[in-house]
Amino acid sequence: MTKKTLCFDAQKCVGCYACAVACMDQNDIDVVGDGLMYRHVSHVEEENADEVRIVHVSIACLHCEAAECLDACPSGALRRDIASGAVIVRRELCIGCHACAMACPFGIPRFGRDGTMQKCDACYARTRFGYEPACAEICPTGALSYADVNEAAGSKLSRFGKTLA
Amino acid sequence: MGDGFTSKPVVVLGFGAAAISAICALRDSGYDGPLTVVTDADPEPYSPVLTSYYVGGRIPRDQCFPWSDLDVASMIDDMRSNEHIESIDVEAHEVKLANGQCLGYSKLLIATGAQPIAPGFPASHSYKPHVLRTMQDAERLRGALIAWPHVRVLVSGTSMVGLKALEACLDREADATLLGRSGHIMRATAHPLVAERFEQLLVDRGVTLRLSQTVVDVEESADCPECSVCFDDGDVEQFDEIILAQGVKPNLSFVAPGSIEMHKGVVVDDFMRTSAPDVFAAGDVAEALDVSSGQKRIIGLWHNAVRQGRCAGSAIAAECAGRKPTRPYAGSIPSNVIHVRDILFASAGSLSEQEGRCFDVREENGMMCVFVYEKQTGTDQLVGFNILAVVPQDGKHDVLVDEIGAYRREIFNSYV
Repeated sequence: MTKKTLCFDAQKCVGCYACAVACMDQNDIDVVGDGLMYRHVSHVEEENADEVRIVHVSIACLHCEAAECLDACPSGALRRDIASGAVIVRRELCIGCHACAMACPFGIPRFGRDGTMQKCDACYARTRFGYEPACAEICPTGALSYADVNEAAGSKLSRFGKTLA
Repeated sequence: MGDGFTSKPVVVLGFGAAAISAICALRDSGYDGPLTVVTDADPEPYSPVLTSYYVGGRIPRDQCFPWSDLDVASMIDDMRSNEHIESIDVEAHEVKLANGQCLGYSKLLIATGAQPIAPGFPASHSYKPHVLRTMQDAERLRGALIAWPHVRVLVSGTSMVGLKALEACLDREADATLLGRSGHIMRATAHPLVAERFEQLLVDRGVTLRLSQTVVDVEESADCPECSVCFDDGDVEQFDEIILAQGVKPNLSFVAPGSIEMHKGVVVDDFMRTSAPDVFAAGDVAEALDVSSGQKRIIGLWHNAVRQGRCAGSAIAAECAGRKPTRPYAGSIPSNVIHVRDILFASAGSLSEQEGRCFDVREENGMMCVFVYEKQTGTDQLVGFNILAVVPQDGKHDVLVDEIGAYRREIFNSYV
């Protein structure tokens, strides 16, 4: 079975927030109440010699291969879902110690009213039944996609090669 | 047994985070030879980090065993639980147990963890103070705290374990007094201004502080369970229970002096190899690289134990298969994050005052932060921080709290 992963192409992102809204919908997140967003969209100014342009970045948990949060969690609340490769939180085991927050270099772990950690689970409830993660499915520009790991790596290499050329 | 493996087993001493991480890495790396584990604890591994949560009633007992669904037992051929280690003979490649048995090994991992110590605390004739490390410690303390309402508890020690024990006491509505030898709590990791604010927050939550004090005598009354505790300022106070959280020492009594290079712990290289051939060490016994000082030292954190254990496991598997290990331990920096009820304290890097450093002290949104920068050409480099915050009712922290991992990484990356 081919392994798929969430891919992000900043060159295609227009910062429309469709991914963030789809994520909230999929996970029933009430951000007006006490819900926490799992996906964030940032707008970064990139200054070159003669122009300033805005780069949009949609970011959620990267489900790192060497996930530091997994190593730091002392309660077994964080686990790797073998099928999807996603790092998932079992909130019933989380003690809210923030060790994952101290370990994650991307500032992903957030803590809700009950003190437990919440974050993106790569929609593993969808992907195990063959659906794409909600953010990738909704993305109108293809900036977020759910692609074969090897194809994604190949595409990255190809773009890198073109940049060098 | 697979090709290329020697007939003697890999022996792992200890069964905590470092040991289990090593066992998983060994098997994941393809080692399918015999594996023996020796531990003085029960065969079901617990997380010492969770014991204070159990004592305070925040989690049930079952939740103290975070590996219960990992089936570690299936990875082990010979499990020796509740066994004491007498000695190791690094020349003969043997472990001698207290029951007289000898176990030969091809590779040995020392991951025996640490035990509480109480230097200078006076011994009582009959009262045994509490410590908080093992499940047995936790059971005893839990029983004492729920024995009757408002148990009067003296917690001696103001670092991580002391404060988590204090939190458990508060959770059980005990009347808690925190005793510290130093003038401030969290002496090793908190800036004095932050420590002072932290102390005030504890007082606001009903904790009595006795800082810059020591205990000179403890006497148990003949006709009631309480203890009379005499402090060095002449005060005498009655307590029902005493918890000692003054530090730990590595469990290395079975290592003969001179047989392996040791200081406070066992010195290891980038692959967790000790100075003795085929002997590795990981976790609270290992002096590994602290990248911020460039020195080898014990940084007793769960995160480090897991990473060191994994490094040792994959290195042992590689050497058993006749290959050179390829995944070195990247080192660590001192870092800490602790909750005491609704108070959150996070710290990483160095907070010491040194020439060429500047301190940025901020107070905003009910938080107190100290960022320490080292002046460098072009830009100032972050080398340490403290963040102290009271977690709001809705749980939503200030963005600075969410970024503690990014700050820690920035400090770490500046050294590597």
